[in-house]
Amino acid sequence: MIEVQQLSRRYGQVLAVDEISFRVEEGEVLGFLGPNGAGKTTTMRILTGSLGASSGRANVAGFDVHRQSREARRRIGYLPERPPLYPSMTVWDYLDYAARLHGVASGDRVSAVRHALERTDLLSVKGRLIEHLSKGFQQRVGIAQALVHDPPVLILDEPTSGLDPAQVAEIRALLAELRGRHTVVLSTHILSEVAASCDRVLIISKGRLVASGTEADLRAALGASQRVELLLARPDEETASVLSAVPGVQEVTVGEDGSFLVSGGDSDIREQLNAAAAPFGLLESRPHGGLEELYLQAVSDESVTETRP
Amino acid sequence: MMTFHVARREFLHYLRSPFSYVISAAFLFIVGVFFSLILDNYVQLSGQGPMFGEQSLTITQGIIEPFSSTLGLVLILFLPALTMRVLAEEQRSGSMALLLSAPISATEIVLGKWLGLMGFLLILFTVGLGYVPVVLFAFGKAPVAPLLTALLGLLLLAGTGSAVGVMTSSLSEKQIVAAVMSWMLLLGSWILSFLESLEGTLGAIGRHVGLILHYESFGRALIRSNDLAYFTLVTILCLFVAQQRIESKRWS
Repeated sequence: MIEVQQLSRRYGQVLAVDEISFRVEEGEVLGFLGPNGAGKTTTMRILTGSLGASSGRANVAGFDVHRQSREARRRIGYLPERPPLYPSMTVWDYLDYAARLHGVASGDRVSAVRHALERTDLLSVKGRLIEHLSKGFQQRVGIAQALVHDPPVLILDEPTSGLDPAQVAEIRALLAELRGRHTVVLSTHILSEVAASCDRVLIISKGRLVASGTEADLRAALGASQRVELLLARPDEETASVLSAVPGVQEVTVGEDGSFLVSGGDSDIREQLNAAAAPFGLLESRPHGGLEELYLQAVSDESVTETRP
Repeated sequence: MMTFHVARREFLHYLRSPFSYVISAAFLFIVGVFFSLILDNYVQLSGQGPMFGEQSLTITQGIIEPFSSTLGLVLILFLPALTMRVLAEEQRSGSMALLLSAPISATEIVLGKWLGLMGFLLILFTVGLGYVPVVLFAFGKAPVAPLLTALLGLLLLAGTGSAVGVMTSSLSEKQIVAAVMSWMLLLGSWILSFLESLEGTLGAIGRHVGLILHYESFGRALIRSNDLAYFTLVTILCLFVAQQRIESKRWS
């Protein structure tokens, strides 16, 4: 659905995107992860046809975003980092305008706008001026704008930034609904978001793709071992040796807070480990070193700099 | 079609924005004051009858010509306040991203913006200045031809002034900078006309580039091809610069 080949973009001397290549399959939700200024926004703007690339190619829904820009843009819904709203318009009028701009035929416009309002749960505020809405509602209007022409591809630049936790949860629920119906590329610098919403992750740092794949792929690629942290109610001196005896376990260390950190190499040891730990009053068992560790590992090789356009 | 959608939004924005009503009201008030002054002056002069050695002024010479000239000057004083936001606001608020990522060309954006403005100005002139011909016809035997040419001149001036406004608004994210640039260009070319009496190159610049000379002939019931060409070319040139500017947004 999206194919990017050796895409580069420089702003003067600064190389914002450096030969990035990736593919996104139909219906997939791809997470774009990276520190601020890594080149996420630049890449997304190139994909939407609103910014030219310095070199390389990008194809969206079978159309080259430069040579067949209009056809490509027709098939994309884009939510920029700052929602592109007109504060003095009502929600309905604004979405009607967005539908017009994206070529929704006049006969379908009312139902398209209504459908977008329903999907983003905005029907109750359809007659309000956008400037009078809260930030969470405004963000949802921005998403509704990207959805109104029912595009096959959605590109969402930090859809949850600046929202309070309840609003973040709402937006995530909305993203979960979009899954499967649209091919989605979303960017974030928040790790839990990727875990919550995405099928696959691209980590970029300083304009370069440093890692890509599912969480498991990344783990394998980075050579990170499966580690589990156990919290026990009644640990005794035998606990460590019992846990070490579980097949696959390579190392057991005791943390300062009394928790046990069990390392299992490549294999998934959780089931047997939990069974072995049960007699000691297993309170909590959680995978240690998830995305966070992978992410830091991926971006740590290169120091992070701010190169925002 | 895309041009129409942009023009429609722009037009509705002006119709709904309190700011455009304030500007329009001030514009119409000042125009109205000048109209009554010119009318009063003409009535007094014609009441005295022909002065010694003078012909009495016709309505065209005594009212339409001076009023058309004043109207033009007041229009270019107020127009930048209306046009300054047209693209600058979009760039500043981030809503330009909607236009840039939509399947619409820079030409359609710029033409739509300009047409929307012209639509609003047309309503403003019709509703706000409709009394002028009514008064003149009620007052006496007002000639139709100079009124029509004066209207054509007004529309051409509004079109060119709007195009200058669209251009300067595309050049800056700050509305006030766009407005000042418009004022400088419009008033500057208006003032340039005063050079016409000079000899040589300066006089030629005044005659050809100056705004007044091209505009005022319409008030005298003259339609000259060089005036038409002047307004058309400047309008197209300004819109072209704005279009290039929007297009360059994709590359900067």
